[in-house]
Amino acid sequence: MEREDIDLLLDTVRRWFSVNHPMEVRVAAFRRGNAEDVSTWSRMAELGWLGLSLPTDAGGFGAGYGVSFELIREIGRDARPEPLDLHLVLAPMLATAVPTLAGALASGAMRIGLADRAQSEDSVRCDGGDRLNGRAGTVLGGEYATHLLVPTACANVSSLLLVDLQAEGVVKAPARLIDGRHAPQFSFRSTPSLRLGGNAVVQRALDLAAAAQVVDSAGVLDAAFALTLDYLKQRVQFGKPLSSQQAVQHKMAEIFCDLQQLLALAGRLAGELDAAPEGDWPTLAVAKSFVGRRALRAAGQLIQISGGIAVTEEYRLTHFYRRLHVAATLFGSAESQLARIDVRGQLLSA
Amino acid sequence: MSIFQTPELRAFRAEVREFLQQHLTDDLVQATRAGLHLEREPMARWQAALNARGWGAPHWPRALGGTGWSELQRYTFEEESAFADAPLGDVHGLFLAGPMIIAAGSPEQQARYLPKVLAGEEFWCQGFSEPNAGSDLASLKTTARLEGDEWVINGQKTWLSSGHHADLMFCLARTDFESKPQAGLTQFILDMRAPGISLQPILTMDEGHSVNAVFFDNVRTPRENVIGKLNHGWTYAKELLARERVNNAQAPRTKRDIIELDRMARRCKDVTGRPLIEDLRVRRRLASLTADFVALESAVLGVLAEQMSGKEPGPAASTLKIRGSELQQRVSETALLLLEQAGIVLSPDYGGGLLAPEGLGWAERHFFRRVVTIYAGANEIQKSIIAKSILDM
Repeated sequence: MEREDIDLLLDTVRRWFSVNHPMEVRVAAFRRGNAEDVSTWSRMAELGWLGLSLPTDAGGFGAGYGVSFELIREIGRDARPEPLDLHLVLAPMLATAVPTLAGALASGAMRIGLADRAQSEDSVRCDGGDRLNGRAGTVLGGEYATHLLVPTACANVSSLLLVDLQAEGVVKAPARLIDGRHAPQFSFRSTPSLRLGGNAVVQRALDLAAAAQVVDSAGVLDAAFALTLDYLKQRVQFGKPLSSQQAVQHKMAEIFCDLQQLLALAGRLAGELDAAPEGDWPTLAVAKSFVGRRALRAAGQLIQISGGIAVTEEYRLTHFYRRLHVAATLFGSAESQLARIDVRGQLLSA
Repeated sequence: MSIFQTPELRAFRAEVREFLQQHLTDDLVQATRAGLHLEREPMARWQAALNARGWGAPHWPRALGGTGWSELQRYTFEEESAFADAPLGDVHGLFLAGPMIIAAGSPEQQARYLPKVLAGEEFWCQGFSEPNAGSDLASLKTTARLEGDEWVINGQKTWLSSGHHADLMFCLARTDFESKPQAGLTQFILDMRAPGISLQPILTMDEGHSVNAVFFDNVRTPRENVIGKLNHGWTYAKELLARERVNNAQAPRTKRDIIELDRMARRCKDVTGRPLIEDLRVRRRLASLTADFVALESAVLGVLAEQMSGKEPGPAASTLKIRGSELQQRVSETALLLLEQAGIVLSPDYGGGLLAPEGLGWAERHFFRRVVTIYAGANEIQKSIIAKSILDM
């Protein structure tokens, strides 16, 4: 895609987000959660967004991760409830594995959710064949999903399984994430599934979802920062704007450093993904751990210097902060990402 | 030997435990554990039970209902209460309004208000902050004008914790419009049922309701409902805020929380089935919280010792507030880290603990605790107080 086309797309995205359940409207109705509407999914399909990242030979636009990431940043900025980020990063992988699915993915007829690795003792396992039992980890995009991608261990072999949610033995229980998004819990009883691959495929799916969380966080922190900067310039205490207090200025400067680094990490990650869609992506673990270690703290400091208003439900910062908590935790927390970083590999890979 | 291990203190702790075992009923414990924001009834019931034992307000002077305990006794009492999940009483009456009336109120006010605080019969709230007077409290705009034998109050206040439970408010309002901002303020006692007062709930990040906005439309209060001297309200406010900041350190409750984290780390397992506590990084994290806690506790005990001998805490209270509030946030952050997915998935009605019972309430606690470094004077304000009032910078 040409830069001109990308800018046009992003303009459309921003405009569409601003009139279709924008964050201001959702914040005012936060008691109902950060709820998505299934109808928005088919409208996103009509706008062509669902085919954006699909290969051209599968009827898509063949946009790279760099382009998808620019869109995902807008998703973060508006804290969208629809799992479009997940779709953009996983659809190409899925369409490559099962080419016949591309059409349904692009039209919105097939909607995928992804389960994180399960933590519980009754976590999903296979019975030796392709039948699934047990409880899946936390699912993103599960509310209106038609299919789930579930990482699991079958007789000590890791597998990524595709589950049709119309199949027998699927139990869906309501739950939500701390940022208000719906995150129903799924468990299975002898549910049939399709195996897409082994350990490498499991890790690739989770890492793609983690990458989307990194970029979403960059959008979230970017919007949270802009909101706060604007507020600090307006809010007068001690006879002058808060933004003129040196203690506040220094805090904002610190947070700005974090924001710039996060944006840069997201950009570097996009480059790695586009250069090697099958992996490996050395920046992934660094960037994902950065969300938990730095971005979350930066957002906490934005709340701190905004004062009381920033702990009220009606203020957007509250919701940005909670969304960052989700991003920091799902698909590999900071601790588990740090554990993956190979110092020599990172620093001597050139 | 630990400073808590003297024979006297051990005997005292046993006495407190025995009292808690006998009087702290299951429903009170459940109410304390169930949510961040207690209803009035359990708080009042527990306060009445403490008062019947003579422990209604240990930190008050003995003549007015205090216990005459040492700081270690007071701290031990608060610690055992926290360990047992006893409800907190009305902190506004016990730690703010009460001590201000003791320090500056008339004998009539002391006789009228203090016994009701002790007995848990009247609850208070604090009318200080305004929408445009947060960190810059002295710029507040609420006015009080004398009309005959009554003061007439107009304006609005915000961040009234527990305002919806309160019978009375201590309210800082402007009575002199000519002098510099700090010099023209007076402390008033308002009846929350007075005509012209209207409350509006403010929901916080934890999705709970504990704070309110309040509007005054020609609210009348009798002439004698001024605490202390006219136009001296700022001095009383500074003293009150220093006392509040000692309380904000929340050392006993934080100790309880760290113990809960340790328990969680022993019970919860990682993806490989190994208890979290076996991970060196987890142990180090808990150890560093513990070390920072003991440092906080030591400083708190120093200030409590002065307080129990009748001395006001002064600006040093700011150090307790800064370190105590930061630690509270780190504790709940650590809980969410340990819980991983169990910390971010909630039941539809926002109950925690959906994936692991240990997760119950931590997300709410963590989100609500973003405010502890902001309320009672943001930590940035505390640092300015330390720099100016103590260090003379």
